[in-house]
Amino acid sequence: MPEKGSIILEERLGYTLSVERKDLLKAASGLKEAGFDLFQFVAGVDYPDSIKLTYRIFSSRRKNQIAVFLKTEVPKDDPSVDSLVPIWPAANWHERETYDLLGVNFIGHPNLSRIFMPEDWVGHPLRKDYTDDRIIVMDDGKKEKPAAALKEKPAVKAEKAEPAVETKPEDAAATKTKEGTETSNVTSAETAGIAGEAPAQPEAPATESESTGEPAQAQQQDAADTKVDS
Amino acid sequence: MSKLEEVKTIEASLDNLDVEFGANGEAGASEGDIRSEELAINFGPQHPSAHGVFRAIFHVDGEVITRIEPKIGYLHRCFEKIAENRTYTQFIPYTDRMDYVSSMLNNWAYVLTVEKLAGIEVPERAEYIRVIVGELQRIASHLVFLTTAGVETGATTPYMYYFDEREQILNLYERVCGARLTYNYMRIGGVSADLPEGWLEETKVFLKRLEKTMNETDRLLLGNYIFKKRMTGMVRFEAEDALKWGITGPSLRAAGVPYDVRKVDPYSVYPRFDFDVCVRHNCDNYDRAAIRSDEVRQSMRIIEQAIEQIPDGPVKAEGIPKAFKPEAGEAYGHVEASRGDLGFYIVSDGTTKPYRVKIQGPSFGNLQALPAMAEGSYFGDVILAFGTLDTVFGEVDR
Repeated sequence: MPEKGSIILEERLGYTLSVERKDLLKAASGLKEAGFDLFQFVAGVDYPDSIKLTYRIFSSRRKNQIAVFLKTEVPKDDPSVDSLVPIWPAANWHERETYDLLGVNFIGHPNLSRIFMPEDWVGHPLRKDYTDDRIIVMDDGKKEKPAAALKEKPAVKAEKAEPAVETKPEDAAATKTKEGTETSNVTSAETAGIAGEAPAQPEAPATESESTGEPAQAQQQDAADTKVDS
Repeated sequence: MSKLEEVKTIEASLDNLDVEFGANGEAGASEGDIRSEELAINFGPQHPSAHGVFRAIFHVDGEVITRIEPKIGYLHRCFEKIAENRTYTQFIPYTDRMDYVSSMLNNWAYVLTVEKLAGIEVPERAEYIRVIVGELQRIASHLVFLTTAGVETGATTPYMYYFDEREQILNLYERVCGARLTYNYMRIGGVSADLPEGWLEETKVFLKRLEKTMNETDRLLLGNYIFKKRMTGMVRFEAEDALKWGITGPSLRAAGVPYDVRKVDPYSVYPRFDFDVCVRHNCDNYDRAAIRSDEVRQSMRIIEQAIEQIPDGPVKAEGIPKAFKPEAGEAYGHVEASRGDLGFYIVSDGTTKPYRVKIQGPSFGNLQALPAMAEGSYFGDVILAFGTLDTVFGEVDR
């Protein structure tokens, strides 16, 4: 056990060991030697300046069979930390998941690639500042009426700039149309991709084909037929 | 060159070819000269044996698997991101759909963690109800497993018998909460509604019927010579490897490690019941399959005791506001789900919506071990081993 950290019993959590990120590998090997052999998960929590990582390791060998939470923190501008795969092979997929969804780079991981998202996805979805054309944000139970959204003629943006997100699949157009004219009570937080262009507008999303209040079906057809490659 | 010299040259080159003949006369190859090609087969996302949407690339050398590359994410529904935009109660139906074969236990893991976060005490009757429906759910999930274990080896008859019993369980659930698969029954602080009249008696009758069926059908399936021959001794995965690769649940207990959350880290009213942790020691396919039948019997024991002990009273804690705001902080809670250790790690920032919900799905950890388990085994056995891991992709991909 590293002399600097000490295990404290947090109230609703359990036994916790908080270390700085440079001591993580040392702490982990110390835990492994102390009999903590079952690696359970890595949870990353996204804060404005940093990402907090929480590991949970269970000991099946010790008499009291406890689990320890290993906590550390990585700054946002350099979100990398040592990989624990050399110590517990079970950390493999969990670290891949944290990399995929939060963008934490694990140094020394044998195969750090995306696991849930397609390989060519851009961005890390679980971050708080992740924006996407397809995210629908519910407004704390209060739902805006879609009528206001439909009546306004949406601005036609010729190239619905797929800026950094060149890799979005082509049926994004069809999906956007569907969202705009569906008679559901959900507003679509319309953002303009990761490049951060125009601010969120509450009207129906712009589509390549001029969309008015046509029935959803026909519009979908049109959108599918008259997609403009951007 | 004379004819003799030609023949001698050809013979010499044949000697250099260095082909050895095995005992039965088949031609083998020694290192370095003749190599068989490795074949990469895609076990696509749509496949009858895939237990869901699972894609893997099997590298095979003849019938022997050299490497597996699993590719998951086909059922990723972004629950953790969605949780940041739903209130605590609104997220309960989403937990149903993670491990959709055993929804009650998912619900339970989630509400347990939220109650821990906010310090809510659940009334006793609600705890007993949770135990009863939770254990019934475990039985139902294991019945599905036993069925698929049979079907994968070619035994299609037990399917009818096990699913008949499962149908009774689903009928019981329908009387309790109106749904057959995704129940949305538990609430923060208890359960959503009390048990209907006569439900406990019906459950007692059902348990008797289940015992008879289990005795009969287990002999039919687990005692079957072909099933045994097919599964015993195959794809052994020792305890040390299993722990190294993060397996929990029945697959770990079949390797001899008695890790059961109900005993190691008891929650709810489990300390009041008398039941055993099922452990088997031969860590092979057969044990991983048979241990779930043992667990069904232990669950029946628990349910009988719970039905006897259940008190009267309220089924939901008082005083929980509709705009439920736990104080800022974090909590972790876990239950013994039918596939392993299902945990929730919830971070709250004091508002009505959680800041972060991390779901620890047991099948995600179990599936990670598949490449290590399968190396060097035959293709057919690996498919069975994958079946005995009992993965549900709702849990893997969330």
